[in-house]
Amino acid sequence: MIAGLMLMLRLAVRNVRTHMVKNSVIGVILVFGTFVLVTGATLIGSLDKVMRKSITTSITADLQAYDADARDPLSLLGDMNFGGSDNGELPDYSAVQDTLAKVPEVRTTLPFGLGNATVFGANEVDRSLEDLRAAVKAGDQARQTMLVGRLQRIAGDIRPQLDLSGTITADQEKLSEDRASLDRVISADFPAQFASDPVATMDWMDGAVAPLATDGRLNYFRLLGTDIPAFESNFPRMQIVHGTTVPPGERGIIINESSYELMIKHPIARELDLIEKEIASGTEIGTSGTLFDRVQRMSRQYRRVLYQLDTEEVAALEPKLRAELKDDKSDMVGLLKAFLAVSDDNFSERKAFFYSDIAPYIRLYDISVGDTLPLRAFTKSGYLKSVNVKVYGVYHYSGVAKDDAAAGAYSLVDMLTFRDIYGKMTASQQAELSGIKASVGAKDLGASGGSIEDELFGGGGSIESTVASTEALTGLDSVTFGRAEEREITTFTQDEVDHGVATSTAIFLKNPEQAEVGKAAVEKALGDAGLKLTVVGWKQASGFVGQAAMVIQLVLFIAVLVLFLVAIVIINIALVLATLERTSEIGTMRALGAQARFVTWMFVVESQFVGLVSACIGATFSGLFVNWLHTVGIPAGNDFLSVLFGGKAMYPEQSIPSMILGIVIVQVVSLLATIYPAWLAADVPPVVALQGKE
Amino acid sequence: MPGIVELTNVVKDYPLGKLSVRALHDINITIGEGEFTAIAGPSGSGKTTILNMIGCMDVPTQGTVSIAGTITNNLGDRALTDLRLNRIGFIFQTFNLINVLDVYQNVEFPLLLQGKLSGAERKARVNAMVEKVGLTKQIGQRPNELSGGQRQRVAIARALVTNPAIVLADEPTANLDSKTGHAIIDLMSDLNRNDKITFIFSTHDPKVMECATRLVKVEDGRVVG
Repeated sequence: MIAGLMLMLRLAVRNVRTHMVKNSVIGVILVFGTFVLVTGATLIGSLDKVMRKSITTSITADLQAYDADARDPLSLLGDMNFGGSDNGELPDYSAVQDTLAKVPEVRTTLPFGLGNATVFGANEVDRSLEDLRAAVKAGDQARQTMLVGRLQRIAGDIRPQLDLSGTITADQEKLSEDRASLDRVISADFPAQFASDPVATMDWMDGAVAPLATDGRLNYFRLLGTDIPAFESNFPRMQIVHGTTVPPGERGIIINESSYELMIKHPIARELDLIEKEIASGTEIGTSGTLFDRVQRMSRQYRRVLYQLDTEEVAALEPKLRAELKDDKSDMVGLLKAFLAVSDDNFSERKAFFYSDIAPYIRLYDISVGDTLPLRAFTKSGYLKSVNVKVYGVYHYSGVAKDDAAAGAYSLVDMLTFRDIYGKMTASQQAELSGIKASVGAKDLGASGGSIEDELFGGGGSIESTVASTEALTGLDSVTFGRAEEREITTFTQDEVDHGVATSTAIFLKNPEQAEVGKAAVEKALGDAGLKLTVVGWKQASGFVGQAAMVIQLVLFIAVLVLFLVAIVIINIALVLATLERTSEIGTMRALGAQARFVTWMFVVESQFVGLVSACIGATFSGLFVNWLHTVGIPAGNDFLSVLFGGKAMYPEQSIPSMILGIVIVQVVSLLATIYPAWLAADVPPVVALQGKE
Repeated sequence: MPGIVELTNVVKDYPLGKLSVRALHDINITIGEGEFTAIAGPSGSGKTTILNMIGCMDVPTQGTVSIAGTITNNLGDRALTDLRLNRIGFIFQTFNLINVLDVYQNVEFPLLLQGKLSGAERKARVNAMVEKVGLTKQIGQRPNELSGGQRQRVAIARALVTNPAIVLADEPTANLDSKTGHAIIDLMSDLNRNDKITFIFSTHDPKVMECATRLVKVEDGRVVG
């Protein structure tokens, strides 16, 4: 047996050497195939590993559980619904928490509540008037003078735009009124008018001038309601970069740095940052139409700077701009326009000048730590809800660039704020509502239209009771609660966090490497407790980012499959030709007493020998290549990849299982390619030995 | 006394399209143990077909073929192969050595297929056989490094190494010059005489026929003498 195997090996080695060209072609294909397969599998394995680490320690945890009847699957890092996904709800998070606390595989859980909210930023006239009111209240005469000067400059800038709009507006009467309002502010005696009656003048400006300024910015926030202190301790990649975290038991928001940089930063500063990024990636303003248009659009936004400058600030900035631009003639508008029309040659200096000389005079961020944000959102029942929440800080995930848009971009709010926006009441809120209802004599009217109408309009009810009933109508929808702007309560207990609605539960396992075991245990515990929840791992929970990894795997799989199909065909053809060449030799062996299976095995051993040698060479090359990549790293290159890599680069690690898998697959490919030629060879009759030529 | 080879009323037909061509007509041959038999006849007379039957590489359409007491007609491929391996040695017109193996390995090949002997026994047997055919010095050479005569000697050693009951040789001198051919026939003759090995060889060379102790003449698929 061993001697026979040795004979086959000897024949294989000798045949490989004798048919060197044919075997070299086959070998090169298999070496390349093994290299692609092992390298691909190693990179995907590394990618999977870094992605799992990056995503599970940033947002998804090891598992997520959400409503099994949800309309849409959970996708924490984005989906095709642009934030409008309906992931259902967990009516009482504590039930899930209590159940999972008993599962030995589970380390801890966190409530998650996904939502969206907007914040309308004030326009520059609004902001100046707000500052002016503060200056009046403080009796700061110098600041009042500066701010009045700023308002006059803004009015002066709006005036020509109003004239332009006059050519298309139908309401000439309103246009005349607006012109007159602006002319009044621009006029030389306006400071005196203001001084004579500041409050009345500011009230007049609120109504007559502020609406004429460009609208303020609309900021859009993706919110994640959670137990913020617990979130911070369980997601180690989260880092506070400005301000502090939200203290336990306090309401508040910490904004994601990517949102902070992309939405809240001054538009000119943000544009300069983005242009710099484009230039760094090799794009040139002079040759890229898109980048050139971006610069043009930025230069037209000069008012974003101008409107924030006081008279003294203009006086300080103007000479610097003249010196920078070597321009003695233009006014401030012209200077700003020219300054912002950057080119490839001057971009670096202009950006540096902006941050060193202009940024100190303007608000670099619309929202600062310590501000109170009026978050506005539509509740689940369709009501527009506004909730004031204090900004405690700005956070990011370590290793991810601060302006990476793909990093999930959730701003974190406490669970009670989330529930306000979501439209759910706590037991104490419900009790509070009942108290209000009782105090105003409201009744629960039920769903019958007739009953409601009777209560509202029949039975000689008084005006007061009608109002009360209207309040009761609002209260009928059990998911809304009052006007949050008026809420003074900013603290809560842990019990309030735990008892209430959530949209999903983040589950941390004691052994994240055993996620499938943990998932099975969690599913069983939830099932036993009668909780209908879907439990998903990080890939499904992360949405398209996790799916992208699967797509990359699929692409590699298809590429390798195609490569090996081609290899099978080529090897098959080569071996068939070899079989035909060796018919006489095979016939001789058969005549001398070799069984057909010996011939079959001889071919199999031969191809497996070539396959094994080639696979080992391919795997060795792959190992050297991966080792080199491990040293130099694979740069992320773009935002999306930096999220996948969990940083600026990925450093793949050698994977012995990938090498073994690659070698085994190549052996299988070699075997598949040998089946037909081996069958053909085994079918050669011994009688050909008497016909053959040596 | 029964022969080691018995062909009784053997008929062999080969299909040719829709027709059938009869290659052998009612052949009856009995060859005794230790005979040095030449099957002679012109090209196309049926010599090779008879050798195919005796060599268990083909079975008759009619009649019976008995090799060392075994009727081959109803044997399957495996049994025929075993019979070839253990009872028959082959010497081919074109030598048919395995080019990727050296002299030693070519001679050893049938023993490895048999798997009966230990490594040491195999080595002793192969060396003895190589010495017998006078190729000890060439034992490590590959076939393409040998002359025609040397190659045929290797083929003879390979045919004899398993101690077969019969050695079949198909035109063993056809590809050799007359001097070398005679040397090969002399070698085969010596082996027959000294070791009592049964040789059956086909030839159309009158000088080779003269060396045979028995001559079977074939013409048009029939034994004529």
